[in-house]
Amino acid sequence: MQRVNYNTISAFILVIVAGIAIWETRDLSEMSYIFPRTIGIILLLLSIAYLINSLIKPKHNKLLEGIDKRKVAVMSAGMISYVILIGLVGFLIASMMFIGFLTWYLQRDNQGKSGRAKIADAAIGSISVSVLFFVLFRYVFLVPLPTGLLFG
Amino acid sequence: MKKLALIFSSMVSVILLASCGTNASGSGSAEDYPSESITYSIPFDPGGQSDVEARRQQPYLEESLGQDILIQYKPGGGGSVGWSELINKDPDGHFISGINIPHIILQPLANDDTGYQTEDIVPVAIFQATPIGIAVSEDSNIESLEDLVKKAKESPGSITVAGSGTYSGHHIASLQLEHLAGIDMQYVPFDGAAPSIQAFLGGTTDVIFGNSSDLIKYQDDMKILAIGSEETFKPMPDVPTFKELGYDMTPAIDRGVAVPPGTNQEVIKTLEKSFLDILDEEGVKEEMYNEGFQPKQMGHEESMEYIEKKTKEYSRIFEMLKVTCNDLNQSNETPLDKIPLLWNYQKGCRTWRVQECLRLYRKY
Amino acid sequence: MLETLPEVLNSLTQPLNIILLCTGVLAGIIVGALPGLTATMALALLLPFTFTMESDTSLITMGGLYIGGIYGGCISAILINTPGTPSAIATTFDGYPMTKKGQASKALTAAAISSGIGGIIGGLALLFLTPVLAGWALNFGPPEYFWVAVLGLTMISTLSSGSMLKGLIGGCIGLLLGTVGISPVGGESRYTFGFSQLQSGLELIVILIAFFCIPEVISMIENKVKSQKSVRREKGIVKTLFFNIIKKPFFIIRSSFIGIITGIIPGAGGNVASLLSYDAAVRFSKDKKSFGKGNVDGVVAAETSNNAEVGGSLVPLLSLGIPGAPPAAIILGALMMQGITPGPNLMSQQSGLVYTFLIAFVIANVVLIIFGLMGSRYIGKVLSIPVSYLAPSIVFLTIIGSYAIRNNFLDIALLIGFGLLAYVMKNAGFNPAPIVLGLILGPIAERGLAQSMLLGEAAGNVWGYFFSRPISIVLIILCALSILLPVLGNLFAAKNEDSQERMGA
Repeated sequence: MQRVNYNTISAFILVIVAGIAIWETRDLSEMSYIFPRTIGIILLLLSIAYLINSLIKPKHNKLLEGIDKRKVAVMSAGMISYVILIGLVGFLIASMMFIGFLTWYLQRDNQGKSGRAKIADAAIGSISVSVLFFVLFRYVFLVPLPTGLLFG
Repeated sequence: MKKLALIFSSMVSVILLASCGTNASGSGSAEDYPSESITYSIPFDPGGQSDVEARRQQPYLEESLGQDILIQYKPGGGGSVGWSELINKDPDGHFISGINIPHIILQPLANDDTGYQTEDIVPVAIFQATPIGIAVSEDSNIESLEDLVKKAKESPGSITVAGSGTYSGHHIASLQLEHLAGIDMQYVPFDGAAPSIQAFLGGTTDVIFGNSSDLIKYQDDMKILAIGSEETFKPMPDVPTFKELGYDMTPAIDRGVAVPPGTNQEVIKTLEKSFLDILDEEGVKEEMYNEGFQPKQMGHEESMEYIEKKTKEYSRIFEMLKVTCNDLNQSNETPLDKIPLLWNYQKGCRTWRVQECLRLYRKY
Repeated sequence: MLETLPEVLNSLTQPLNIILLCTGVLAGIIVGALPGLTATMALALLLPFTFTMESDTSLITMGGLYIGGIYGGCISAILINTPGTPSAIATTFDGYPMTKKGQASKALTAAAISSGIGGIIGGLALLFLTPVLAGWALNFGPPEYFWVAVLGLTMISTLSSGSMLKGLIGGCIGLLLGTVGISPVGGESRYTFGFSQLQSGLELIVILIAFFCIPEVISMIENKVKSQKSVRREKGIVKTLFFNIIKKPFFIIRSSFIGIITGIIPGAGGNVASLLSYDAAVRFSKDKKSFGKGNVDGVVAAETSNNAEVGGSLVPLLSLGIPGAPPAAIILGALMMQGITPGPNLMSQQSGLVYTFLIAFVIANVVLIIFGLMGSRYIGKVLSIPVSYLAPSIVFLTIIGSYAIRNNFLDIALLIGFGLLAYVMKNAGFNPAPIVLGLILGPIAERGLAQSMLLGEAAGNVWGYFFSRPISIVLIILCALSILLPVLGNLFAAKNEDSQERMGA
């Protein structure tokens, strides 16, 4: 299968982004559109140059080469679910779950510890870190941290 | 391991207890209001006029309400970010926000994604105002508002005016003066009071529209030509009002406090009393005058009526500008009244059609 | 000045003032080091406590907190590539690579010494040059803002490692991100896609963390970064570094000068100062290639200037009553609470208070060096925490910090969204630095451009307005030099492979 060069794909996305940026300025007054429209046009031209460049001199190296994709995927998914969890169960509980899960997950390769020790480690680490900073931000810096839909 | 488990469980129980504690005292009824600390949100940066006022009120409020008052800053969008947060908060009176008039009237007119409507904001009280004044530099050859108008008529569009923000009180004041005097000036919006004063003092613009509290600080460096109060403004006894000079306008920024829609009347009453009583405390009014503020004492009902009145007034200003432009522009095939006028006016100053229309208007 | 000396001495020798000065600096460092908590926020929190203090005590405490807060940002910048405050942005460029090489302790020490020196120079400028500088600040009008931003944007050539084209594209993306929200002059909302929270624009700190920290954390877990590398302790490092730094007076003075000037201009803060100073350091260096790979000079340049900026930002406040930066605005608020209205007459009416504050300001910088050096010995130990604990905790801290800035849930979502985007872009060869540069400078450029157009139109000559003012001309020449010099240098020294690589593709 012929792989499409990632540079071509990103150039293509950039052309679309520039197009949207220019299109969105259509209803604005001159003082509001002058700057974003100019930048949008420059971005469009640069992206086209980038697109042509990527087609003339294709480099066939893959994006994210030599990277442990699984860990990256877990980390990304973890962060996204963290955000969703904050909205659902509030900041403190979501943070405990997130730190606990990732600490446990990242220790998997560590052969020196038993399964229970890993879980205990993760639980203690997550609870102490999140409670410490929760208290610091909530009660010392008076930040009204999000409470979530389900609790409080 | 046991020790760890013990620490672990005690921590969990502490958290649970803490969260129970807040839950229990959460949404209390109107009778025991206020049952927890009150967040007083300021939709501007710290250090501004709204903040100064809130900080002045804080100790008095804590005493009369018997709860902590937490001041929070939510700057952005000229206040709109803070006000759209306000209208979505629980209407239990534990979240209140400073409001500014005309900001809360003008913003929903100017953009349709402001996130709140003027009617959503329930005012509790209006306690302070800064009339908007117009000034020129100390070494300018302009001595009075008449001089300025005369000069502007001689060379339309060449006099530059500094003010803070677009679709703001300053912007409208400038448009109003242009309309009433039949002149054309170039309004240049700056990013708040401090940058506009800096630009004016540095000679970037010829004229400045500023809040009384700012102008009073720099009165040695500038000549204040007129002020937007109804009667002679106490801290500036020598400065005439716009009305005295024959221009029927009273531009001012009024500051007050509001609660989310649906708040219990009893809660509003409690807050209203606490806020208005502060003004009767000894020395408070004096202090406000010294800083260039106009104390006001409007309760909930009165503020509602006031905002309603002002909303009509501002809509009328738009309407008036719209009519004059449209009447003169009848021959044109695309009527301008489809788009809100203020928008048009802003655009218009830089497009041929309305520019031309303004010139025609001046001729008649 | 001399006649106020007894009053100044009396105030500065009071134990309470000394204790609060030190506490202020220390608290500032801690707050600054935590991403999302800024000096501005710490000052706002402190404000209610100052009501009951004497006016000199309150000013001294706030000054200490401000200074500590700006310095503290460098700690997280060096250790985890996360600028704790926007001012520390340029510190990440070389500070974090130093950490990767195991030189975290050296970077922290250099940052402490140079911050203190920069702060002292800024303080001295404040003490002696305020009236002169204040007049100069007023001559800075919209066209000058525009040209300063353009000058800053020419840095893209310095910052885009690898492909110049990608650097320019990144810069444009940053500039576009900077236009989100209500337009500064037109007053209409743009690119908000219906989110009313976006009317105030994207929060700079959130984007900084997203573009610098999140990709680094992801790299950390997939073991590309060996951050566990033990922090080497070098003996006599303080002495060596100190002499290294003061051996280059021109370098230090240049960085401080950039910081002070940028500070005086209201609207351009420590972030712009540190970026411009970093750029100057790279351009004047003989060893350009080593920057961005852990050159200690990069850290010194950035930290000197962002601390000198603090002094500069207080110049318009003390001389004109105009706050030059958000933290200065809170100090202004505190003064008003004390019944002192800062204005053009502050210096003459309250000279005792002003000089007490200024001298305390210089002393606070000395305290800062001491705390910074003591701290840099131990604080690097954070890195010896295993990645399995460190990475999730950093994400947690950045989330709590992003939320703390303006209590906005959308910011958390933006942080993670842009963070993941930044990771992909970084792997596709788009360096985050030009993007962030565009985001910082975009609003300054746009405001300057639009205001100048209005003013130019009123003057009857838009082009003339942009190109005829004296400071503008100086800035235009600097812009031209900044673009042309590397090209010319390339032509004349074709043999020099270094510069070819820097300019290449």
